[in-house]
Amino acid sequence: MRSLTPHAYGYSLHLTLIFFCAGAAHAEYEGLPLHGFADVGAAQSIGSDPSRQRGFNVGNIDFYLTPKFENVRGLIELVFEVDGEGGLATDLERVQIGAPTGDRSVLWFGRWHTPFGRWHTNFHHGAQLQTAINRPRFLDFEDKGGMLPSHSLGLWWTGNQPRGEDHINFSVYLANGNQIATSADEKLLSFNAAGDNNNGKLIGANLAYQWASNLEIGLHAYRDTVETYLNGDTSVLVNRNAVTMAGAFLNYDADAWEVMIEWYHFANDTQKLAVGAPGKEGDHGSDLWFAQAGRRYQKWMPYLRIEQARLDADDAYFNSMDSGQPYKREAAGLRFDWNARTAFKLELTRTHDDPIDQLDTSAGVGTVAAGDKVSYTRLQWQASINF
Amino acid sequence: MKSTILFVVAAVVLAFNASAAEVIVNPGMKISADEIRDIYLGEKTAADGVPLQPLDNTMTQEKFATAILKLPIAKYQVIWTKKAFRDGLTAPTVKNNDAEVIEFVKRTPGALGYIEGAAPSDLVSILKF
Repeated sequence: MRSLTPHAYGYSLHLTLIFFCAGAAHAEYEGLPLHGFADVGAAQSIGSDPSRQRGFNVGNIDFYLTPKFENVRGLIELVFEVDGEGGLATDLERVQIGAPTGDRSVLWFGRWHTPFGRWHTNFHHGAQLQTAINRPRFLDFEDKGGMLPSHSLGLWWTGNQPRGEDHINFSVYLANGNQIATSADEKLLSFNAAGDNNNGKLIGANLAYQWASNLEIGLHAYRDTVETYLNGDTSVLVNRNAVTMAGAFLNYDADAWEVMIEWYHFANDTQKLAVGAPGKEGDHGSDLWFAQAGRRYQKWMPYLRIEQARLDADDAYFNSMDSGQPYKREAAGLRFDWNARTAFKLELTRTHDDPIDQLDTSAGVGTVAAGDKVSYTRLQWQASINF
Repeated sequence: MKSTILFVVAAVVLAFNASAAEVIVNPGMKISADEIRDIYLGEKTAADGVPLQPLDNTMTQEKFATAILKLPIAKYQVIWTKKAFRDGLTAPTVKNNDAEVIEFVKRTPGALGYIEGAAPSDLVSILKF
């Protein structure tokens, strides 16, 4: 997330004006569809919470447009949020143009949310849409502690095929590969928004069977080559990781119950290219998963979730990222739908961090020894709307 | 006695016809009745390359949602919020009455809607409910 600069503000305003004008030129579509989400809340940490949350906060304001020009469709999502220092940050989350490839499929060009599992592409930044306040931590966005490539830039083909009342849902994608972008004080997964840093591309697929009862079971996988450079200096390559993810998911959303289970297995191959960095050469296996269940009682919905990241400490893909830390978390919460567009939520999470040695880029290439295991509790409240 | 029976039968027939609704489509469209649910839930967005434009009808929406979509209206609206946010789709346009639905379906390739009562002779009805 970048802080709002006059240039960025002008760019986003310019983009908005283009689409308003385009919408006015096609009167049969009755204007430009502009929608959004917003959320505010409060949090209190109990114990050794590294984020030390206390008091009220503003979440996101998320605007999205869905212009449509005959067969072609677009989706633009712009998010404003308050960063850790209290400044306003903005991000052009998605800019997609879609061309139909059949009656039930579309080829998207542009920047989109990587279609692994179901949580990520069902909810995006729409706080009011998702049942819980927090995303599973490993599934969070790259700058929020996520370990997966949330954003991608490239081509995404997706659609469905009917089987009686059931459907087969599919996605195939090709995008710029990722790198781990480091500076003196942070190390984040980056999807290479301005162009790929190498010839390795992110290639992935997602295939699921959805019954008429709304039970969906699927498989997902992707492959990427992720390199870590020292503080943006492409002459200092710290490591190269052949990343392979394969897993499965289950999604069930009916009148009474909502159940989501997702599993991600990583089989990565690390090449260590700089002395002093953590990790070992060779193959490494890690597993990330979560399971969440909620039950609707008219406007009320209690829910429970457990999630875990079991990471191979010698896997340089994980130990090169600030977020690449093993953990386990339990969450219990309650959602109340005030009306169709407003939700209030209360959530209690208990997190157990089990740190591993991490890459240190504060002064050349080094290793920060793992800290102690720590557990902490957080109580959060949120009000969210969609419009 | 005979006249009483005839009266009762006529009343039943009239009551049935009065409550029947129909799905109407723009002439020349090739869609089948079993595709209607998928169209209204955003799973099928075109028919032989012609973009589909389904319409909701305020007067009959609850009946359509129950009989064809098999969903409460609130759930239907949530599905469309997700569809818009995820897939860039636009929810069906809501018309206020049969006349508005008929007028739009007549002039718009790819349009379909539902009305209370019989379809006009120049429009195709593909489903009664």
